[in-house]
Amino acid sequence: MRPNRSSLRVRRMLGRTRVVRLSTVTLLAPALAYLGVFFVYPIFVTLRTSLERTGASGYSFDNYRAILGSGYYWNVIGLTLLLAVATTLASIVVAVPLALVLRTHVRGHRFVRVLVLTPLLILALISALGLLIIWANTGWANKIIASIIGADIQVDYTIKGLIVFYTWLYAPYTILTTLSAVEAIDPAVEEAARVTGATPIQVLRRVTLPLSLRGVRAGSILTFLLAFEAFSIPLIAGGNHRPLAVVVYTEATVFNNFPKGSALAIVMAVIAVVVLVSYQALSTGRQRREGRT
Amino acid sequence: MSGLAAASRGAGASASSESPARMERIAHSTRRLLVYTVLLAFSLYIVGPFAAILVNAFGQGWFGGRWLPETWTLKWFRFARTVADLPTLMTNSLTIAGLAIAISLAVGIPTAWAMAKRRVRARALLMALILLPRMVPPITIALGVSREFYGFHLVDTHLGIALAHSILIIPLVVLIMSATFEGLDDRVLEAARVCGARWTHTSWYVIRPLVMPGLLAATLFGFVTSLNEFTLTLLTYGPRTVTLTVETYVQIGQGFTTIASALSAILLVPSLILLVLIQNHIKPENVVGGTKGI
Amino acid sequence: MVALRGLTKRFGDAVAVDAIDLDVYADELVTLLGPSGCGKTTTLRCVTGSLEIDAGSIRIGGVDVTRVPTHRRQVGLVFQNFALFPHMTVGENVAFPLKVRRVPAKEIRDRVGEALMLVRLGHVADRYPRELSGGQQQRVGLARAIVYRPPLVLFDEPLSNLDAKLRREMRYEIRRLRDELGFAAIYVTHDQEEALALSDRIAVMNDGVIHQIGEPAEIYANPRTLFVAEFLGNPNRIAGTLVARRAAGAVVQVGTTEVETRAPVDAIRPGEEVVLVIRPEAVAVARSGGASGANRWEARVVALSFLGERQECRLAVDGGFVVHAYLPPTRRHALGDVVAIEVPAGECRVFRT
Repeated sequence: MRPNRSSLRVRRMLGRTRVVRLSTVTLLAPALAYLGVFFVYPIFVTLRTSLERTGASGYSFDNYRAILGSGYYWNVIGLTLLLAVATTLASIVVAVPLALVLRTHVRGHRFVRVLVLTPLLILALISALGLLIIWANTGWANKIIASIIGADIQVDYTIKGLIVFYTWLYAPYTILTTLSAVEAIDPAVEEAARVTGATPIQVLRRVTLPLSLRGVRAGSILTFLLAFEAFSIPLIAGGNHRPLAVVVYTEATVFNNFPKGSALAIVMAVIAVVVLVSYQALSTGRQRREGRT
Repeated sequence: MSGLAAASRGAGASASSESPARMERIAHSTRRLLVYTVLLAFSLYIVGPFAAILVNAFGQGWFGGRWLPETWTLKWFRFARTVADLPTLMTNSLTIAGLAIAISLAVGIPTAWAMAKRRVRARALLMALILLPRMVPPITIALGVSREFYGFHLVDTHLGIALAHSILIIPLVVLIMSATFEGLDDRVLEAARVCGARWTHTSWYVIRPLVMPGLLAATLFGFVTSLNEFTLTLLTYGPRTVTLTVETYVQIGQGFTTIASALSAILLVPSLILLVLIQNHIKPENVVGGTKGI
Repeated sequence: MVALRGLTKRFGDAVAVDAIDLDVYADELVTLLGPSGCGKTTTLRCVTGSLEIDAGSIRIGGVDVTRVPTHRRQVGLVFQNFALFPHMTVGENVAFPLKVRRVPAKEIRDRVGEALMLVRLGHVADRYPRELSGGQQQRVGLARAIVYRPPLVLFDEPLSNLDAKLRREMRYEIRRLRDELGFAAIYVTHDQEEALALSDRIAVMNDGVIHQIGEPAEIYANPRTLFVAEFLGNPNRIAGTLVARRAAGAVVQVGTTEVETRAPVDAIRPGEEVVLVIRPEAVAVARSGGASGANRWEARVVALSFLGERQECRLAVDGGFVVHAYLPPTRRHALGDVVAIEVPAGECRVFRT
């Protein structure tokens, strides 16, 4: 009796629709197509443009020869790297104490945590404007510093100023990764160090800081790359100090020399990718040695 | 006996703990002072520029080393509206951001699903490829894109700029959404199917509510990325597609920092709203990860 | 109710389920019992349609559902990890199968209430799964699987995430539900006690094939393969050589000892290596003396452990083998004591190695 009734019910409910299952390739296709048309192809266009000769037909490495043979461009690359390295170091100086403080969950730590995120979400241009106003010769920051050290310091439109601005903008990456590394430290490990007789300073130097290094490294590479690629800040706040991105832009649009601008852009991309890839190669090697994957 | 022991213990404690307790208190307050100095200095460093922009946007006669402007005014916003045609700027910016988000979600979500739920060969390599646009300097992409767009007549169109912005937003969408989809329990999806839910039902009643936070995050991040995008916009915009960002740049370039401040004050609003919305929902690591694909 | 014919499922080169046939009738609970990786869960997921099969057919209620998508198969499934919808309340979880079937709202309310009553969870309808204990969550899983009255309910190791005491309790609960509602059930487990206690019939699986199907007592008493004999209970496994066949049974030589058996030995020829399987509870242990006759030996106590309800001991037969056997908890023996043991020839089973 029952089998018949149930089978009837089953039969009634079974329809004829087939399962439509999109293949993995179909799912991946749009993104890959997009990547091809709007990323790979433009890069290829830039690459091809960089091989064009100004005012002549055919392709050559003339632009690259001109760039690498000129002291001016070497200075630009040097300035860009200097800014990136200085910003990275300054960011570490800001990040480590801040992470150690935030970790203790003192009153107000939530507010500061939100503040850390702000530079990430605000247009760099706006930040640059605000920084220019506040760090101007007559701005608040200058007045405060002058009243403390008793001397005027010129910040805006100097390399010093660019480092201050870059650090404002890009230190949060180092801060966030350092903070997450610091907060991932098992308190028991530090307690173990204290129990075996280490002073607070020794615990900090021998246990806490070494264990935070991983986060510092991960954030530093981000800060370095962003500072290396910075465009809008030096564009409006750099004055006569022009790093690579700005020179690429002015070369291509102001001097209308697209081929040379493209060649510079390619040089810049190569440096960025080489730095990133070698960092990742190094860090995977290190992780393997440390037994974390 | 016991009273004696207690007394001696008490005496010993009070005698020897006198100075350590004081030292402890001093150390404690020094530490507190240090901690709050660090926090206060950092907070001022971060907040300062925003405060300066707001003061500049609402102030008049703020120069010559004054702490605050002579008078307060709304005229820079009026100028922004008339001189810089604020309504058009906002329409342009919002249209482009809306289009960019739509494109990025449509392109990115299927990929995110495949990365999270399907067996993809060379998965790590593919992910690196998808994140590659975030590793290459934006100016390098922008140069090529502007040349390509001249060929396709996409320069100075909303669609064109949205397409350019999507290059940077798609990796973000894939990253956030694949992490979200990975969090979906396969057994729960199977349970829905066994319960008689067809694909559309499962998507709507089970997947949608469960991935909503991630979807919201991806949308908001994409939106702000588009609103704030500068490099790609600068090389693909035209007279009909001036965005808030570009206009701010133009005003700064012409030395009108007050109008630029007014525009900036407006641009700050969506970013700050986002900040308030996300601070409880999103792990900072995701934000950082989305930036350079590390 | 369910008829599997030649069901085959491969993962790459590995055959997870190898051409099995299985029938489950409308009023019974059949258990797929086997060690992990034997293909039992894979079989279940083929029945739900979560996995596509490579060969064979599946019929549910007389209808071929081999190519029917999961959501139209009208089966209930109870998961090992509960798999409740985390964003829905208990009530919404149970209502889900009805909602996607477009049952009117009022009827949904009634039937959800009824289902929750059946699993004794009427009071938690508004809570979220994470607020419930493991046992309660699994009851919700049960309610969700039965609320739409599917003619077939599948259980995928539903109790293995619960602690031992709760497991026993839920066992009776599941049995009671099945008897009250009268659905057919396929129950997957690796726990033989659970299978023996719960099932109308048990199918013992290993390496993707069903070794034996039958009622629990029947399978326990008459295992047809070495695997079944070893997997059920906690038997002695003794290697030996078949030396002679008798009218009913055979003689197996172990060391210098001969063991008589009266179990069927089918196609085994004298001289072949065999395995004797003897259940510990079949070994009768007497204090001493009179060690003569068929399958009666003297043995020395070499290990002894007290387990509360009984004692377990290991006994070494001179020039032969070691068996373990059970003793009543009150018996006093010391290591080295000599006892007399007897194993009825009917309880000695012989298998090819």
